Amino acid sequence: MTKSWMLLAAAIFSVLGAVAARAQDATEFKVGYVASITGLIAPITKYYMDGLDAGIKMVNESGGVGGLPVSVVKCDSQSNEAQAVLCTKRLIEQDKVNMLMGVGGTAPTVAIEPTVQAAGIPLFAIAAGRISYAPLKKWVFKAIIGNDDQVPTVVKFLKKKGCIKVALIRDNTAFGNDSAKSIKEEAARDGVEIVADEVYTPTDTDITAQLTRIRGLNPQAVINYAVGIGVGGLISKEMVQLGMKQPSFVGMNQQIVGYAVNAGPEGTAQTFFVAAKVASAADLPKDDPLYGPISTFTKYFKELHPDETPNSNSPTAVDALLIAQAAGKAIGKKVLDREALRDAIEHVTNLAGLQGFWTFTPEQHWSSLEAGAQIVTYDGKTWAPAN
Amino acid sequence: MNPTDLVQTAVSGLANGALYAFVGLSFSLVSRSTGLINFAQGDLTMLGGMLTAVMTEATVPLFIAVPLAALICAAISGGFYYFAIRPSTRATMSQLVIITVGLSILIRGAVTSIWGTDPRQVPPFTAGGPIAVGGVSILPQQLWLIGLLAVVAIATTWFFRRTVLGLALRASSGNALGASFVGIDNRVLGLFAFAAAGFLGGLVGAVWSPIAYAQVDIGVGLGIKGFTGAMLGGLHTAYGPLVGGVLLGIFEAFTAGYVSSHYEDALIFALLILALLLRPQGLLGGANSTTQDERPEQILSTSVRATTFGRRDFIGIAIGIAVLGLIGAVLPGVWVSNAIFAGIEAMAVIGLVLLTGFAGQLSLGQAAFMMIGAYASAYLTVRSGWPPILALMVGAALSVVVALALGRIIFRLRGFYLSMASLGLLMIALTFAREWYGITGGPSGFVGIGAFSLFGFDLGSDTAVYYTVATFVVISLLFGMSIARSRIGRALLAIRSSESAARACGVDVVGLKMRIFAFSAATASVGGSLYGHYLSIVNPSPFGLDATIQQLTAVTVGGFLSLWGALAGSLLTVALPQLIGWVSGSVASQFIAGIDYIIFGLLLIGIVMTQSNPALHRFRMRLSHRGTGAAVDAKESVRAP
Repeated sequence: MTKSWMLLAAAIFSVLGAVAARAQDATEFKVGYVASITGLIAPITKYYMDGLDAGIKMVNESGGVGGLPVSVVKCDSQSNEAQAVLCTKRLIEQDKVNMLMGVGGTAPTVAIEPTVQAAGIPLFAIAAGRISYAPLKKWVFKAIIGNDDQVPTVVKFLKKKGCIKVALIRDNTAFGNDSAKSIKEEAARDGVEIVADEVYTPTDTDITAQLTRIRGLNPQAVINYAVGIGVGGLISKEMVQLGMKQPSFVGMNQQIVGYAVNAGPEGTAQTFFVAAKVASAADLPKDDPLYGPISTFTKYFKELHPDETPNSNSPTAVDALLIAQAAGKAIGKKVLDREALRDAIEHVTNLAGLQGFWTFTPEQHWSSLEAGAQIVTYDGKTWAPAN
Repeated sequence: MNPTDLVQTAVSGLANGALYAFVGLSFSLVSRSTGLINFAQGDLTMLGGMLTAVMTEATVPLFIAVPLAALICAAISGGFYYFAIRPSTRATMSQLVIITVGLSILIRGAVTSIWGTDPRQVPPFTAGGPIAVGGVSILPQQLWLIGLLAVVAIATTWFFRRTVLGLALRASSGNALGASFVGIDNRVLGLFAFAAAGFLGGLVGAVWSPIAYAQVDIGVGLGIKGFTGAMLGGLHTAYGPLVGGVLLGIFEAFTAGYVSSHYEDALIFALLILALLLRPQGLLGGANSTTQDERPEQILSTSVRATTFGRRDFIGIAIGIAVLGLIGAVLPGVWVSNAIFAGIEAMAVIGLVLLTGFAGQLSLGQAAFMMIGAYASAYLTVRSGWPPILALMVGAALSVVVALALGRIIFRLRGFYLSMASLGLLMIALTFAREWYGITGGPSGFVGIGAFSLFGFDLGSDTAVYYTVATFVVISLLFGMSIARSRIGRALLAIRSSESAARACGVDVVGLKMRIFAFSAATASVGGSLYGHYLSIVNPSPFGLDATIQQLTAVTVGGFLSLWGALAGSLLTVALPQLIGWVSGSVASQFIAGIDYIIFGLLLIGIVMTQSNPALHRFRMRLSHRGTGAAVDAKESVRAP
């Protein structure tokens, strides 16, 4: 009895010892990733992480960050605010990371920011909501194509197509709410009328009642903003089932094959996706200013995931690394000094990332990525820009 | 009102109702034979869809994949009964429910790590698009689902009326003790019920998934809806779950389509509460069918050590305060943070120990009071600039008022009826938190709530927050103990054993329940306020069903009747995922998604089994007897068969 307890204790201590030994390694640039590996945001996080693998390889084979190889430590926030804060503290204090990114969800990202600010470590906010990076927070930087970039892209496209009577269906989460707010504001500016704002819970599995109501209003288009990637496609499928022929517009997080699987061929055919340029990498002209980084990234991605095509969510966690790399070019090994790293990030100018051009200043920790956002369609094989 | 749309809404409501009816039927099977609520029922449905999807992707023909998926679910469910529930003979109802929560977490973890989190499609049984009848469209698969439901309904009737097993089930559900006297083995019935419910769950998952999709996280929601439907119709009646499920589906569709999709949840659960109050036995339950009054908590007594507030408690508290004080000083930062979140949760759990552990009232609405506290603090400090301590007190007072007002309504109910009503209140509260933009800020809530402060001293550092939380926890513990170790505590235990007996002895049953409910609301509310100040943001998402389940897990793990256990349980539920993630993330080169769920689920099942296994229990009793030398009331509890 005593013996087995001692063995168990020895095993636990050796594991903890191994962990501690790992944590002391300082010959690399460590990035902590507070990731929503389980829970509501998990399905999309998988795509972030697949892209991140390729991003790490891409950065390491082009000199790493400040000459140091990059490694990423992940911690599962379970799509939950308290666990996200605990992950942040763990990554800072025990894994001793040099930089942070996360969380994939506006509310948990905002929740970890006080901790990040107090610890003084750069954080790249992987969240679509503007409040995750603005107004200026000393240590927080924008990292992805957000609602600010996506919504104008959608509304301009609607306007161009002459759709001025549009219905909105979205979930009742903070994501759905923030998106609805931006969409309504932007639509009001551009003279597009939002005739319905229907909601559902992300775990709902039947949205036909809301869609039937929308059908009765006969809008010219439907904006379908969902945080869950199952339900986004389901709505499209149910629209087909109800005989609704309107085009529907979905957010960037839905630009994945899983959407097409759920929506079925007809539903997919009438869907317009907001997308990053990576999505249509094959069609990207060589003179596009983002051609270089995107084609390199695509190459690494194909190497690591031969069965997958990179989508708009693949570069989400990669641009942060490219920005750090650019900052490292200026300060070398001083990237390990958080203060120096932040200052260097604040002076990154016109960097061609995968999602657009990054320019930061001490006064502004965000750039407009609207130029990197586009509308694409999917024919079951390839994603192509829509005109 | 367009008549086509009206019929269309009814049709989709009917099809969705058929799904709820199926899930409700599986709940009913288990509940009628064992008295248990299998929380994992929804996850078994999800698993049925997932297995069918994976098998058809591997080109297994549907006619093999569907029955195979159902059989696998039956084996998991039955095996779980055999290996986890059956040996836990000392477990109370709530402990058994927590074991099934463990299964639910385990299934989700396993599915995540094996097949990932992507949604998957199951091909429909018959090809072809929707059938349109005068502008109303219906999917062939929806007809399959409704048709299958009809078949199952007929088969169930035949089963309960004509087979020995079915009759035995009915006998046992009417009077388990009597049934065992005439030679019915309740454990065989339990095994059968779990396996059959698993089969039905898996089958409906496979049949329904082509209409929507299969994905790891959809199970819990399906389970709640199915159970709600069964409660509406009558959980312990033959057709109640079927009728209730279909009605729920139709009501849901019309609410979303014709009233408001924003207030859908609130309206559904308001209907449920109303139905529970008016007809607790369900719409189809006869006057003399099994209702709440005939189903006491199955464990008749549990050993409780001290019944008066004595020297031991003072020593315990002194040691506890010293340990808590020391922890804040020596723990490294991240674990202090874990302790803070654990302390915040413990504020809710302490009240729950008295309410659920002592008084036997399984409330699922505790997170609502945390939410009230959090929002009151956020609103009053951010919008009105009040000092945090005042806002905290107002929040607690508000929670008490709400608890007293609602308690008057829901404490007319008992057992799982009370649980469902309290869950309904939580859902209604969440809806209002999401929709009352002017007051709550909508789903995004409040941002930028300041740190807690007292008399002008800013208590923002982790150490300061830790000691603030610890102080509130100790105060609540002292309050809790003085209640638990007093006349009131003994009266609460009496209520738990038998309400009618307690009433006969002169215990003011309703009044006591109300007071304890108010106390638990107040402590939870304070916890919520501290949460808001610590996290600096408040929105509805941390106060949902997950939070409630987590608190209930903490109560269970802590041992139901132990206020110190509340602390330990809270620490475990908060810190364990972190510990698992930390160790597994560092040891395994690639982080395996879902591994933390698997370990957590297994641990939860293991802990409750250890607590409630008679052999292990006797062993523990001997240990503690030897250790303290104190007289231990090791009275064997008797489970009503």
